[in-house]
Amino acid sequence: MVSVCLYMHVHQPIRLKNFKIFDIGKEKNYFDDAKNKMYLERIIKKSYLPTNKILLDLIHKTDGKFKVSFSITGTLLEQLREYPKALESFQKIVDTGCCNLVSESYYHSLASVFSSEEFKMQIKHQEKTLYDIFKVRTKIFRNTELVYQNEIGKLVSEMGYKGILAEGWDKVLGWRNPCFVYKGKNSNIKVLLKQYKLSDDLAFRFSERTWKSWPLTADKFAGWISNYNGNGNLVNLFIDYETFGEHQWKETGIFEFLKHFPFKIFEKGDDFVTPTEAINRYNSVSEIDFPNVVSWADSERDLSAWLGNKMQKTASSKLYSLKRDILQYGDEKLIDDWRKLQTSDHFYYMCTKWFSDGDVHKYFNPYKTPYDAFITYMNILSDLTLRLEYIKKIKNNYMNKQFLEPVEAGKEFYTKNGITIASMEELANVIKTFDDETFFHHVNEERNDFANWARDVIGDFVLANRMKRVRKQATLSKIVSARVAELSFL
Amino acid sequence: MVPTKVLMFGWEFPPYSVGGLGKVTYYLSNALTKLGTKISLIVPIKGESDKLKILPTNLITIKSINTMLSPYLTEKSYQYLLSEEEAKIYGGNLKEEISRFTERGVELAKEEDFDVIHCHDWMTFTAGIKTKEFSGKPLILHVHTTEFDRSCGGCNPYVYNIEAEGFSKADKIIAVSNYTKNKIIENYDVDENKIEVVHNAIEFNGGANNNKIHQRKKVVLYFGRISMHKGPDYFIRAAKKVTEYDKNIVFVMAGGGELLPEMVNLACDLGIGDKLLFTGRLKDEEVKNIYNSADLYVMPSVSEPFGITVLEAASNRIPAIVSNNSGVKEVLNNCFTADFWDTDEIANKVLSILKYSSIKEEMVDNAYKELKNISWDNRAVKINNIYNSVSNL
Repeated sequence: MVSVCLYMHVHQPIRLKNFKIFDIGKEKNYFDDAKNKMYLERIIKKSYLPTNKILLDLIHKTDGKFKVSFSITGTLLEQLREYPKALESFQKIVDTGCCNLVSESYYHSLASVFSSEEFKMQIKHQEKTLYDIFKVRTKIFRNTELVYQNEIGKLVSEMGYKGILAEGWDKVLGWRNPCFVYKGKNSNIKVLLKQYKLSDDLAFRFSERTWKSWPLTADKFAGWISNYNGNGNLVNLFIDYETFGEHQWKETGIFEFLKHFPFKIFEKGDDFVTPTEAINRYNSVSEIDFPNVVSWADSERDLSAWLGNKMQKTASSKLYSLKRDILQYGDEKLIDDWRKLQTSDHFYYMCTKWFSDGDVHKYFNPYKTPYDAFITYMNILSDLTLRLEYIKKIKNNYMNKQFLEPVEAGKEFYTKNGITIASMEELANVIKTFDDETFFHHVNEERNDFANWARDVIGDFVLANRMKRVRKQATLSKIVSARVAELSFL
Repeated sequence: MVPTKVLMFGWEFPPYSVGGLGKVTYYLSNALTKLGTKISLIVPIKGESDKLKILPTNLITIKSINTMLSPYLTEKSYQYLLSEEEAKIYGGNLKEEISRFTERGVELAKEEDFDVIHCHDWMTFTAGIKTKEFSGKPLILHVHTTEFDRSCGGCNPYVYNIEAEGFSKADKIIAVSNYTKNKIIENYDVDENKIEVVHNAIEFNGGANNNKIHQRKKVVLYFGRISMHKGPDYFIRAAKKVTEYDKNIVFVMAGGGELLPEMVNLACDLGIGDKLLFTGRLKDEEVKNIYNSADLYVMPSVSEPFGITVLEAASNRIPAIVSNNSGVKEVLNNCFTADFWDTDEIANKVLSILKYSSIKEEMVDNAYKELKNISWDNRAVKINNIYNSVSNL
């Protein structure tokens, strides 16, 4: 008997708005809410709702013998909050117990490549989100774009994961085939390897009329799977969820295929498993060594589609160079924005690999060229950097809104001509009204009473420093007003 | 296949050139002769014609017609150029000058032996039609611009009629881009099967130009005639927005044209007289220098049938922002596109490209790879096939 492990990756990024260089320092929202909404509503209608209905039916009709598993990114779950019906359609499937949820990084990021500390935080964020929404804790992990190497297996194994999904790449497998459970090197994690040929038959070739096996029927496909009897336990079909209804449109017959496929599997005496069942049912046959990073993308199976060119390298290194300061000084919103910029799709849009051939990866790509993607991204990153610098200044007591508040009673400034000044703003207003006698009484070669008051009573060293050597009334007034404006801007 | 003999009504050869048409005639003829095609070329020349002696091969014979015509003339600019002395020799207005050219052209054509007639742009169309009438040979009209591109809407009916008559009498029309093909179909009611697209190209030997002048200020370049359809005013308005944001960026408007004085005034009115430099018309050597000093090329044309200068910029490792209304973007993917009127977006791109240096590095490398497939040699093959197809009609 061969077991089919059907795993579907469900993801939508939160796309960026056309952020111009002139918006830096002015515009606060980075995300194109309207566009994201448009894409999401389309995908819900074309893919999520019809597919989930079929999956749920299949589970009922087969008395729970049909199994499926999902990884649903945090960036998608966040957007689905506005669409309870769609979210519910996933929950219902998870609630049957026939569906495994697979964990990953909340932001669908490539953090595993840049910072294991950041990577772990995003996994924990995802775990919490999955629990909040689905009341489920999972022991299976998949990394963004199926990026895997030994260290990643070790890291997630230390976080308590028992199984991980990876690409069944020939160069790693050598003579072995992906239809067994393997053990990761340097850890005890069990590795489930994607059967990429069969997975791609479904995900990419299904509607390809020039393909010799077109049309692909459920019976034919179940037959190919059954051929692994005697040469494997497990056929891992790892695909993008959007294969159903979006990559392969309804008109291609993909839904009909899905409706019949499980029954054809059972007819041939095979069955379905979730990843958890797979690792419980089968022992690992041997250790598998992934010394280098392997992804599920392109013929190279590497990261070149995300981090291959100069723009991608610049953008990613700039992004991650902010890590320490963002985590130290950033507020929740800033950290969240920074993490949303880590979503791998942003880097994918900058890919130039196929662009010269006019063969852009057009699928839901909001940009005309990879260069446009880069500009938008960098402008946003520049704005984020500005925000970070600002917050740093505040936290380092450079900016403190409290400086604007009235001083304690009894600590007001009493001028020679009998005016009482209780706040910086009042000082700004009053200072320009003084006659020469009053002004030079307080500001002269020996002293600057106003600067001292700003320093000792208000506590604003910045303002005091700016004021202390100034002897001109108009200039001094300007300095105080400017400082008021600066602090009010916060 | 018997080599074709072509009678071509072309335009001035370098170094006596004012724009793309001369280059096209030169490089295309050169590439065609490599295929064994013989070309009898008839070109208008003003004054002495000794500048034509730099022939690439003996498969080309040249006859010149002494005329005031240059390919981008309008009635207004014709009058502007015509001096009193010249009025005695040349036609008193553009119309007269064209009939003079046509008459002389047909006379010269009668002395030639050819299989196909190939004309470049409207001023030569009537000569082509008349030549077809007496010789019975097929006529190919090569469209580099239409009246709709040049006039920005204010179309001259006299020119339009010549173009329309030409298109209806031609056996084949060659458009320099799909953009132009569509314009011909829309505006002249021509059957689309009659039109073939052959994009312009560039003489590119792959040699990297590394002697960039290092300078403190970044230079953004406009290079082309300063005419309305090239959108020079949009360039200046974008320059205004850019220089307000970053004062270390300088704009250079290279080229001559009837709108030059107006543009100088506009720049001064906007208060960027010191940020925007005008060069006037450039010689070949100066063109090289201007490319060497530029960091970015902008072509904000209102309507640009092709835009060879973008390829030249790319071959000089300069990234480009190109108008959406242009043909060149059909062959060069690795450039920016923008709407010519969207000066905010142009300014945004100018600033971003100059700020984030990895764009330039990535773009010029990828554009370079594309240029290798954009050669006159493979354009000549396409055109030669068109010659063969019409001579077998």
